[in-house]
Amino acid sequence: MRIGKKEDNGQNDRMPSMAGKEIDSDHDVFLKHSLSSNIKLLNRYVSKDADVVFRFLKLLDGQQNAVLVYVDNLADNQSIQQHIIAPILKEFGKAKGVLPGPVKIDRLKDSVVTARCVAETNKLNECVLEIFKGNTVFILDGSNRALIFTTPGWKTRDQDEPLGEPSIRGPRDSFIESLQENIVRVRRRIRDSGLTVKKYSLGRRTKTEVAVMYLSGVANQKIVDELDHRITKIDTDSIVASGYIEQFIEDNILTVFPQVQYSERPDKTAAAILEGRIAILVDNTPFVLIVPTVFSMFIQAPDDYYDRWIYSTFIRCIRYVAILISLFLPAFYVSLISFHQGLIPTRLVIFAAATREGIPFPALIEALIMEVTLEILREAGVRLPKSIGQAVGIVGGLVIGEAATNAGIVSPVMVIIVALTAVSSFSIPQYSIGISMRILRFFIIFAAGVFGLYGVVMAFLMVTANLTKLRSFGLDYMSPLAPFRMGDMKDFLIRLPMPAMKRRPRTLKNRDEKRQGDED
Amino acid sequence: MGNHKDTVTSRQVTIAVFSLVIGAGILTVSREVVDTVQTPDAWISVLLAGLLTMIAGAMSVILCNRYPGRTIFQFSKEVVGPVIGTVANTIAILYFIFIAGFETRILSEIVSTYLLHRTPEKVLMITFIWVATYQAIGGINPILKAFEIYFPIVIVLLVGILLLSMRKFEIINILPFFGNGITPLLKGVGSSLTIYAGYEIIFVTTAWMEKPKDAMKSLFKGLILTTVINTAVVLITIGVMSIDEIKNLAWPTSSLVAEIYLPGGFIENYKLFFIIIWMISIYTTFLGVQYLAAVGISQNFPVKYRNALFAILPFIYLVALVPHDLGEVFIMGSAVGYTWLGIGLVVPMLFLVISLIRGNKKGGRAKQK
Repeated sequence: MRIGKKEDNGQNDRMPSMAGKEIDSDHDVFLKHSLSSNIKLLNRYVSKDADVVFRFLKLLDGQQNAVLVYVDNLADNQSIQQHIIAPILKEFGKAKGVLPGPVKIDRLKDSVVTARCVAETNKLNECVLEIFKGNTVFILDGSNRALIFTTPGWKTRDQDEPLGEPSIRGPRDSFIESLQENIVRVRRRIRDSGLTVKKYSLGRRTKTEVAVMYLSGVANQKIVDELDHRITKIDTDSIVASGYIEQFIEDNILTVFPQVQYSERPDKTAAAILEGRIAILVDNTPFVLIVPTVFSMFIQAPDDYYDRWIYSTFIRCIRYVAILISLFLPAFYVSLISFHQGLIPTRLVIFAAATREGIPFPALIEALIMEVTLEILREAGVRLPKSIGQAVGIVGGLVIGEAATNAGIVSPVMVIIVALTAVSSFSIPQYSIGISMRILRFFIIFAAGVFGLYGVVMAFLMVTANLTKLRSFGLDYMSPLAPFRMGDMKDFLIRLPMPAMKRRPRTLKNRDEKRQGDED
Repeated sequence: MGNHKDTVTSRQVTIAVFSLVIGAGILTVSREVVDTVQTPDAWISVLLAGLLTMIAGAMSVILCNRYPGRTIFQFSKEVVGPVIGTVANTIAILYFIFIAGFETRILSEIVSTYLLHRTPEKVLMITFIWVATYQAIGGINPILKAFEIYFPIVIVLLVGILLLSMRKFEIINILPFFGNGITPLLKGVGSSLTIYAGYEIIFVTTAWMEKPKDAMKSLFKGLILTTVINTAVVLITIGVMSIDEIKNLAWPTSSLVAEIYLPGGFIENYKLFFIIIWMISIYTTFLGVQYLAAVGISQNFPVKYRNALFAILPFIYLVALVPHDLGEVFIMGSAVGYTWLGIGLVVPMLFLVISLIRGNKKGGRAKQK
């Protein structure tokens, strides 16, 4: 079990040496007045780490000692030198011209050091935490308080175009692996005093910073509180990526449908926040989670709103058709070919029968072979380095398409159907819902192979049953279709022109529903 | 989240009425009505029956609104006393189980006639019941939401099929009106009333409605829609095939669909759509009555809804197995219909009268709650 409270008990027994002791957040250890004992205390926790630097400073011609503790390169060496060490030594290095008596820590903090001081603490465990965050801890002899300066210095990658969610007319920036940078990207788009950023520190060992962003005047307070409750309930030792959080906060684990949306696009995230949704940003992950999520959100792409409404509506209808194709087409084919030839036009039956001449498998097996092959190819394409991945696609496509048909293992019609299905499932804007569709497709094909059209309809009813039972943070997953809300249909199958979208989605029960104008 | 109970919207009630009423009955209604009426204006009987159902429905809503926040299974004991109330509820539950079994059987008959000729009917019944139970476990809200999703599919395909089959409509087939006077029409009302079974869902949903005052409006919308569709089905079936032909058909409505031909159309056989619609509408009816039976048990006896749902499954299955052949299935269908006349029409009226006579105080108290 990942969630096991008090897993740490007995941790010290496993690591008997004094060095490498773990921080026990339940018991605070306080700093002493003497520098040497403080260093000894600190050493208990960090001495095993070769990259922790203790930089000693001799002040007032060596009358008083001080130490800076930081992690090499996690804290920016240059800014430590420039903004902390240089000013201190300039002011206090020589005893001449300095007020008699030991250096006072307050004076040092307020009028000497030019780096930003985030906190002052007398707790050792806090110091250790700050060191590993990339900050610098300053401890002065004769004081039981430590100063913490922000000096984060690691390099983040340059932002790329959003690779997973390309758009034609949208902005080209995307989230990166730094939480602060990501927050800035959202803030730059919403200059509203209501934009709230709540921070959490999750993961007993990773201490990952998580930020929750929403518009306080708009978002439904109940959902905000529910999210807060679910996030604080997370008890795990590590949050490596936002996917971890998604799996802790989702409503229902027994379904193929994702109940949390993710995005690497700041514009999409900002739009969601403006709609009254809540974004969860996680440090070290370029993917932001958006809740609450309903099914229709997975069919919407940012371009729907950047392009004119007629075009967007058309594209959206195409996407719904694509979803139906990717779910039902192979199953339909299998059921019609193997059970109900009478239901399709005679000419089509003859044509399909002719292409299936000499194929040694029943239609169900044929479809499963093709679908499984396709899934393997797709997975191989994703896992391999880009350049090789394309080669796999070409080889796979040629082999499957041409050779298998020529060899008479699968019928050409089946190849067409499987290809169309695959392309359809890739045309769904959100990758995660595409996966759901592909898993369900296997289920429906199987139902079709056993029960024909009856099986397809029963499978459809089961999928709907699952969908109608789902909720995301108390919201009906199928809204605005069920329960039907006329107002929200403006942005469902059709997207009305911008001036007509005067209200935020009703489903969310926002505090402020108006988008434009004063009246309805 | 399983215990989460939302309010029910007015629209959901309308659709629920439609989904429950449109079920197996519509497949055979033309034959049954034509058999009793024997004249081409049998469709007027269907229309009259619809109006009668609306009156009964209106009384039911008045009755339910006298006991706000409670379902009929809960307030019936207050109306007629605990003993008779429990007996009445038990009969209602048995009746719902009976309909559920009947719908299961009709479904398996249709599927084995048109789709899977060699698959044993028992397998079809079991899978069908199982799928519906999977949906019903979620309780009333997911069920109503599912109805909302199926509704547009059913209505679009249904209206489409009806319009397409109008091509062979001969006005001569539906003439003359009132050829034999009004008496045969009134006789026909009795048999056509039976296809309106299913509006009873409002006895339960009214209790949880967002705006209980809208119950009447929602019910009327649902019943008007179903009356129009039922009447249209009978009218068009008679108009296309004439009453003499209808009498000899097992599934007149499906034969109607077989008549469809769209020039230049790519699809030759529209039965595909027809079968899909009817599988879904039988499923929705089944789901509704299964839910009603289970919720009735859970509100009358110390059994949880979920357990009640599973407990009734074998009984539904047994009821479905009772008829030996198609003829007996149809007899069973009439039996369902005539039982409904008692339970769905007479009992609510009786309850309302008793409640009005006995219970002004009680009604008043309930209103204050």
